[in-house]
Amino acid sequence: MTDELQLIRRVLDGDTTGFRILVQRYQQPVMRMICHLTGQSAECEDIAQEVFLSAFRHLRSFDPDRSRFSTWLFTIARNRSMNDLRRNRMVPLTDDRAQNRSNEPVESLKRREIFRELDKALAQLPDRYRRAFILAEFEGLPYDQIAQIECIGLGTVKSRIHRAKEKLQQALAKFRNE
Amino acid sequence: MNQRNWITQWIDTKRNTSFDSDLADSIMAAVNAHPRRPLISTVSIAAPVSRFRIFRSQPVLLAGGTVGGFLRVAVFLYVLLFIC
Repeated sequence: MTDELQLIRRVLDGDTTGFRILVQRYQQPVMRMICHLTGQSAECEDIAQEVFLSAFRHLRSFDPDRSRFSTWLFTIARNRSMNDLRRNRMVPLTDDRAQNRSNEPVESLKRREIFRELDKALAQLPDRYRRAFILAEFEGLPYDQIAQIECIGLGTVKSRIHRAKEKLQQALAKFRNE
Repeated sequence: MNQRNWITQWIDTKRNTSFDSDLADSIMAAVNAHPRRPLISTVSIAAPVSRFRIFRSQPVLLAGGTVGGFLRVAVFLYVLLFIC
């Protein structure tokens, strides 16, 4: 955290090399988050670039007393993703890229079918539930950070994630007796 | 395997997603192309202050548009007549 603030100060003082370290530190989680939120693996790299450039341009407005740098950056990523989703009017679909890069060499047919079903169910969730679930489960963000990113209370975060999980479990109901 | 385990496995797959591309070079190229512009927040820091802002503290002169203009002229004439 302190190290991060020092980097940010360096950047604000005109030493842009500090920003490279921040990009390298956060590029994977930011790209993953964008990819999951938009469901468009082809565009997530472009959006991630926009996010980092926007962060650089507005770095002076970052207030370390109000949030962590990661929260601030993820909020920009969240907003850009939502804008992109609205502009393209696309329902997020299965993230094939994510599945192809699974560490497991062979996936059973059932497993693939179940994962596809879960992807479909996730895409059909209302945006607010889907975002809360993705931020908590896929990105592993703590609930208080999600509350800050979404500008909602902690209780609302918990209930949105709980409802999202319920819906996902319902989607697997047909596999129950197999 | 029960439902919860499937969901946990699915989440793990998503969490392990990684990307080959390195954004750092392209971002730094863009950053260094315009090194000064991004760092200054012109809106909040350098917003111009109008010399006429002082009038805004006076309720009559605060009104805008046609009515505001008429009121300004009326007040000006009233003060002028009063002085004369």
